[in-house]
Amino acid sequence: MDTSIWFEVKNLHVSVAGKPILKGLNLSMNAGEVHAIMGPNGSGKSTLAYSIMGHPNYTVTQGDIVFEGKNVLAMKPDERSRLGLFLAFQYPVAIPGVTVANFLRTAVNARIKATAAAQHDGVLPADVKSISIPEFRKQLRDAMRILKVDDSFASRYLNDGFSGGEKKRAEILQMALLKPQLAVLDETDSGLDIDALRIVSEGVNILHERDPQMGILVITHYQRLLNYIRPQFVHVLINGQVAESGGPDLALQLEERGYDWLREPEPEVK
Amino acid sequence: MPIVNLRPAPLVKSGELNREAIEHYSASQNDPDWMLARRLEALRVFRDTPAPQRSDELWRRVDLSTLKLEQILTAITSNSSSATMPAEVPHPSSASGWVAHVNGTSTGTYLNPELAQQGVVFTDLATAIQQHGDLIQKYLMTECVKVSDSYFAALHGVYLRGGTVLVVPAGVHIKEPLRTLTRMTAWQPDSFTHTLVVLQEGAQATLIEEFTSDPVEGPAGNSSARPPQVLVNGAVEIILGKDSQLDYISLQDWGRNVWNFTTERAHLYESATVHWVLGGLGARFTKTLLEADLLGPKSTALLSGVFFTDSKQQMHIDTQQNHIAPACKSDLLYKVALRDESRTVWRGNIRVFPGAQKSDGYQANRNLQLSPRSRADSIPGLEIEADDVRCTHGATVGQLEEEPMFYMATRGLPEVDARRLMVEGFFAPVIDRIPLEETRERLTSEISRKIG
Repeated sequence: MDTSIWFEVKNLHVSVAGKPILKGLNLSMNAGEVHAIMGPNGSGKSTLAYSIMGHPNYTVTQGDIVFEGKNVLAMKPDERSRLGLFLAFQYPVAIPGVTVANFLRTAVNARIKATAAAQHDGVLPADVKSISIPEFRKQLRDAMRILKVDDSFASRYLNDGFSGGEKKRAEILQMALLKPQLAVLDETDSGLDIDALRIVSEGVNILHERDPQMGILVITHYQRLLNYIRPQFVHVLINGQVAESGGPDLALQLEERGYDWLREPEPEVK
Repeated sequence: MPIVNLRPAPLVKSGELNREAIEHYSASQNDPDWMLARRLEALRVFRDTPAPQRSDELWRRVDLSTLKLEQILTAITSNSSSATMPAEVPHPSSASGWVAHVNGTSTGTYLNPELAQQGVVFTDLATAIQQHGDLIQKYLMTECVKVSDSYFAALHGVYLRGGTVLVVPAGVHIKEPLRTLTRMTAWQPDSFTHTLVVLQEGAQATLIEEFTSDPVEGPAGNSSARPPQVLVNGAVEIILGKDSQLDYISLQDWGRNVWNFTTERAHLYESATVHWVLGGLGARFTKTLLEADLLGPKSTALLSGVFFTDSKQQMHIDTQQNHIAPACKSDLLYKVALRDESRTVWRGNIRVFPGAQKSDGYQANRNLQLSPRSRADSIPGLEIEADDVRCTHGATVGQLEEEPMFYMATRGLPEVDARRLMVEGFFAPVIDRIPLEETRERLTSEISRKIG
């Protein structure tokens, strides 16, 4: 494996329920970069996001995903997360009965323990401490301020009865606490009004300023999110492959011209 | 198929369960005469009550063929006063009052002197029988749970020993929860614990009861010995006078050699309210009959339950919401999680009696199957004999869903942590109704320990 590339998706083929969706997708990123994946509905954008995290219904039939020299495909979703990958879901899942605070504290502690165990040949040293409650509260309060949510948010059941905007804020709140190295944002703009879009995007930007080495992969159907989270690179996904890559201008071009000019002509049927 | 070991005839024939044996037992409990008379009457009823049969709907799904009831009863009769006390006897902490028992014998009680001054009685059953006989003989198994109810209620009437009596006089409000801890040491053969709660007009109280067994270990040098079967045959009687309000929380975590048969009933008079949380984690086998009788108009019963079974545990919970007076409300929510090869059966019935107009009854049973080898049966029922009522029910059996599990995994939670959160979350709406943080946390940590 080529270990010089920070994050690389190589010739990725993925099927869902036996149907091929990704058909040889290539993508590489360096630490700290912001990339955008755009594309029409059904082009495989969300499939890419789920495949990076290892959703059990997405079967990789060919290709590799490599992060910091490690074979991501060999890992379970929770291991990928602890490796530093994060996905902000397009449709976050409700966890009834589990408060935002309880969920995040459990997740933060799982990371602390797994990281410590990994550093000691898989054996959890006895002196590993969970995050202290005051320290956790401090971090949570800070993240809630960035995302402009009320204190009561912490004691609500995660995503249970949340509005669309609250769900997206909760995703970025989790990103703030879990401090990933590579964050994949799947249609984070969908279902957001303009004010919520600004708050969520600013949240992402603040986190990126705090950790400039964090890479961000923004998946979006529309250009408007990219006015707030500005990518250095834009890739257009058509029919399971990257059809075009370019700079930020490419997004503007898509806004004007749509996606059709990038589609391969259908083979003629005689 | 008849259940051989439960026929009363062989028990009597063995010579153990006869008048002399019960007189001896009663003497060992320092019973006053009226209590002896009650036990002998219970014995008479017990002998006339047929053992549970599978042809009886209530026992149709229950297999008692491996219960060695006769052996257990023999051990009780000969062992009644020789309980070995452990060196250390912890008691619950409460500013209002507590009662602690080990092996059916009280190891201490406390009642805040201010409450005692207001006429509150809160003490162990033996002391109540001996010192407050005039007050409690009117209630003890006379109106709420009766020996004529069933085979096990009759057996309980014969042996009842250990337990708690709470009587709150009219208008007295007890703010801090009262607590009890009822404990069995590993080799104790039985518990016949009895709870009697009487709230007089306008009284208010919270009672939290915890039932536990010490872990079973083999006798020294013989750790492979199987622990003997233990019989728990308890009863709970709750009598709520006009406008009174009771929060009653009962958490059962008996050892895995326990066969647990309990009869629990609340009588509610006009505008009385009970909020009743039943928790079940332990015992090899449980059969609980729980009933709320809404006898006075505008009375309310909120019934919540948390049950979590594993290995080959079995829990059979039968609930009955009886709307006898008009304009009453009952609302039941029982949540069950099952692991391994465990099995649960919930049978719930709402009965609206003729004339109980404006009844509002609801029951819901939610089951979370954590293993495909577990089995949860949910049997709701409605019997409605009035025309202006609102009664509904819902029952579900579900598994851990893939999407939430994947979502949690993407946050770095190992599967076991994700399962724990899912199960905690499943129970949370019920556990949140327990008014004492310490108890909530203990229950949550027991649940978490069970997930592994």
